[in-house]
Amino acid sequence: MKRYITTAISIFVAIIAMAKAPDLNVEKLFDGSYNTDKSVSIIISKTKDKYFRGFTVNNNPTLVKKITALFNKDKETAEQSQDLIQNGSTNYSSMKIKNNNLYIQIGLSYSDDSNCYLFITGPNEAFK
Amino acid sequence: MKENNDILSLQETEELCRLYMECRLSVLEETELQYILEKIPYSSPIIDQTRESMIAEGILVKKRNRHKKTVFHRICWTAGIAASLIIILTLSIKIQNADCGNIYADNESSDNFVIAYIGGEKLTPDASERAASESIKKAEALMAMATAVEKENKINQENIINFTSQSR
Repeated sequence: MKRYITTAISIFVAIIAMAKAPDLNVEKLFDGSYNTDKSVSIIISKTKDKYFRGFTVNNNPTLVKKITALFNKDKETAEQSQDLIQNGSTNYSSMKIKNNNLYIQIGLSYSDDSNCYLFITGPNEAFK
Repeated sequence: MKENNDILSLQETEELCRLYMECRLSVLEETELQYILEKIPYSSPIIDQTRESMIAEGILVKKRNRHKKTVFHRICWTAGIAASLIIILTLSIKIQNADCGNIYADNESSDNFVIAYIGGEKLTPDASERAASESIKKAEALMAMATAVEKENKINQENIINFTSQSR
């Protein structure tokens, strides 16, 4: 009997452990690995109401491609998304992801193929 | 009694069972008979009666029940192992993420903080504040621009719909 109870508890804990809200793919950019990258500017700010992350890339086409790929992965889970296209290329993309019934706003603007600016913002509760 | 390795015939097994029912077997012989009945699939009234008698006395375990129990145990064990592996895997991923991913953890626990790195250099708190303020303004301008474009598109759509319905 003890064994069955232990098994049931283990399964329950496993389900709880798996039922974690998915992390944003673009948040991987803020794991500290780009802090010393000279082509990157990182801003992380938190106030009582708002959370903000900014990531600017200068002259780094490889990184721009990587950010676009991460952004597009998150887009699959977004509730709303918008693309502004100018002269045949995307100028600005944005999306809204719902978490804890609140919206996280993510935007990605391109100057050209090697320069871009990404931001993530929303109320603190949306990031928990 | 024959060696266990030898295969007993149905008649020999029945004879042994008869002796068992008449309580004429020694303890050792009874144990051997129990072993034989577990292994040999013979069936006859006297053999079945002996089996049932041994089951009733608790000497012999019903084969089907034992099989069922074994399968159930195996399922439980497999589920337990699978659950443990999932827990270990999830915890290890969490720990890994915490190790490499959350270098801002100390700051994130506080209510207000600003960190800025520009060109690979960490900025001073004042410079970080200024950089953050500029970055937030830029993001707000982009969001406002996107909202304005969306509004404009909606108005254009409505105008086209109105124009089409009027021309009809």
